[in-house]
Amino acid sequence: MRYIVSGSGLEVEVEVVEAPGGGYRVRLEGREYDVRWSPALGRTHWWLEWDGRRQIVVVEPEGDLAGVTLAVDHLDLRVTAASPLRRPSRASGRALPAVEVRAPMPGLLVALEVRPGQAVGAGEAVAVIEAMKMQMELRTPAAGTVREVRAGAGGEVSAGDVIVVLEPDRAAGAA
Amino acid sequence: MRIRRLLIANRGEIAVRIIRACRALGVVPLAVYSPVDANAPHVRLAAEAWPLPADPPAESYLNISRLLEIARAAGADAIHPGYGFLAENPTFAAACAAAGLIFVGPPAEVLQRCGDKVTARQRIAAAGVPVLPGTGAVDDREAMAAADGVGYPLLIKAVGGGGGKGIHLVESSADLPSALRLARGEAVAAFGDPRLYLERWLDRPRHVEVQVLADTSGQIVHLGERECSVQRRHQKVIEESPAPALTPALRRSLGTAAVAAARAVGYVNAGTVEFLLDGEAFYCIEVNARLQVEHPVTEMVTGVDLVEAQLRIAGGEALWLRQDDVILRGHAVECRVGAEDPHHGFLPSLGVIAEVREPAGPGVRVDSGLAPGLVVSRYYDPLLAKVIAWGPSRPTALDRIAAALDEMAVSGVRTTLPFLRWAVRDPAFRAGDYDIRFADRWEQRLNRKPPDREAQEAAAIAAALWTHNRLRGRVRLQVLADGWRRAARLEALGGGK
Repeated sequence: MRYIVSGSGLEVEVEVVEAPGGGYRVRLEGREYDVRWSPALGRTHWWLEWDGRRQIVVVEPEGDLAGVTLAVDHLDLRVTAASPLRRPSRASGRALPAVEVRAPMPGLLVALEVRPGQAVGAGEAVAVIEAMKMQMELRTPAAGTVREVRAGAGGEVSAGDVIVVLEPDRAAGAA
Repeated sequence: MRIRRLLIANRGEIAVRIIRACRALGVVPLAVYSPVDANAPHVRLAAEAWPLPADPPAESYLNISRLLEIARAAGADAIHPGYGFLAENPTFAAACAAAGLIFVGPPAEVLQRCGDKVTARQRIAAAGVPVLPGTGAVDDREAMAAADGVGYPLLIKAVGGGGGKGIHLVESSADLPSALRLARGEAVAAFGDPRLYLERWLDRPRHVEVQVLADTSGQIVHLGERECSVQRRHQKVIEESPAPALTPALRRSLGTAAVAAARAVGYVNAGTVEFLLDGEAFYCIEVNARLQVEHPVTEMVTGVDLVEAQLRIAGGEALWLRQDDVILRGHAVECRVGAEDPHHGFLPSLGVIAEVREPAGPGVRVDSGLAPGLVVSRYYDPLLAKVIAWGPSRPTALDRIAAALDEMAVSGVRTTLPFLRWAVRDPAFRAGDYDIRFADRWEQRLNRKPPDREAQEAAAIAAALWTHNRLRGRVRLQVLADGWRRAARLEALGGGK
């Protein structure tokens, strides 16, 4: 199987061939390695042995990306099959002009300061969220008009929940 | 030991730490736990564990009436508050005393005095110890009026505060109103006290603090200092003892000043006098009336068990140590492992711990609240565990902690381990040449430099093999609700100046 791995400044083809005995033969950038890949801890940590090295690698799904954490570095990588399993592109839908302001972390919504129809400037605080005794302001990424408010003050929110939907002003909505 | 049965009104690694001291001293440790903590290690290690009604702090580890009922029902004769929660709450200390229970910490009036940062600072200044320019407790209008006099940049701090909560750095008057509002919100949430004060911000100071022990008869000794300049959001992340920046003369001056400050507030039990060091000048900022998170580095270099000392002093013993008996040996460093994602703005990472591997070895100590099944919830502090290493010299201690951090692994939530591994190997940190801005360099590194070639190749192979196995159905997909990338981008937008 050949895969295209891209993201975090990287774009390479990786060919994976299963070798007898449970290992892999991996070709990367014209070089070939004997690789072993085995569970290390939980469902997230793996032993990666390649090219005479042995290290723990953490891999977690991040949406449709793989979040790869090494001892210090972290890379968000997209892996697609080079052939023949190419998946249909997801970016074919019509882009919505709305801008969503989402909760960056799970927590308690302690304040919500806009109503539908209200005009807001770029960088304006629309809500305050609290978790682990830390409060964080949610600010608008662009100026516009509040189209929808999807959460209520005093309620719990999860990371990624849409709090407010904005109709951006024309200049900002051109993308 | 006068104390026989000790109720520990806390959770996590500090509850485990206190339980261990109890076991060594023949004191019966009694734990409490909120529903979400039912699988936590402190519940299993204690002799008895008593349930608290609900998860929010006000109904669990801050629930004074319930804690006192449990103490009575469990036959406790003393309560240890740990740090955070009720540790510096004078109402709780007074309620313990009224119920005939020994509160392991300073008496209520001392907590009151230290907790009112404004009054404490005045007393300390009157004792001849230098303090930073600042205001008393101010409302928003007074703050706006006084800010120019204090000078920008300045810090907003909670009068009732501690542990870095409710502190906001303000660069200019335009940012003051929004910072005041956030700081008041946090102060109310964390301490139930909306009062704030302003204090001058030094650009690149070092944070150095001195551990003291004081008995009820007014004898006070200090146990050397800790350097705590590696901080994020005003929360300490790495601490070491001795402080690499101090000359022997400066160390003596700080020790003397710390004892004078402790005496000025009438301190009793184990406490910490915090200073900012700016070149050769130092300013006392506050007295922390509790056992500090970073107490183990002092224990490693002095050989004094600070929890034992707390229990003995609380039990009425006169101080058994004189200043000359305190001998510092070698070097110790502590790294705090928290449930925060260092690659995405250090946002809290919540989840259930699946599996943990903790390090060991010569000079290595791990104070941990981690175990499989532990729920990392939004209700409590993100601190999971502390990795501490001692060595006969600073380089050896740093080598040992670097190896220990490499060995440690936590599956289930993201942790600060990658940041810590970078920090302890950083050349400036290794040279002892760092200040309170040190941690900013991590963000700069993330923004500037892509990972090196070898890291990229390892990650590419890992991502390909992980996907390969997923596609082959060998590994069941672990679905995580994850908005981290978008979240980090949003925070970056929100935090941009």
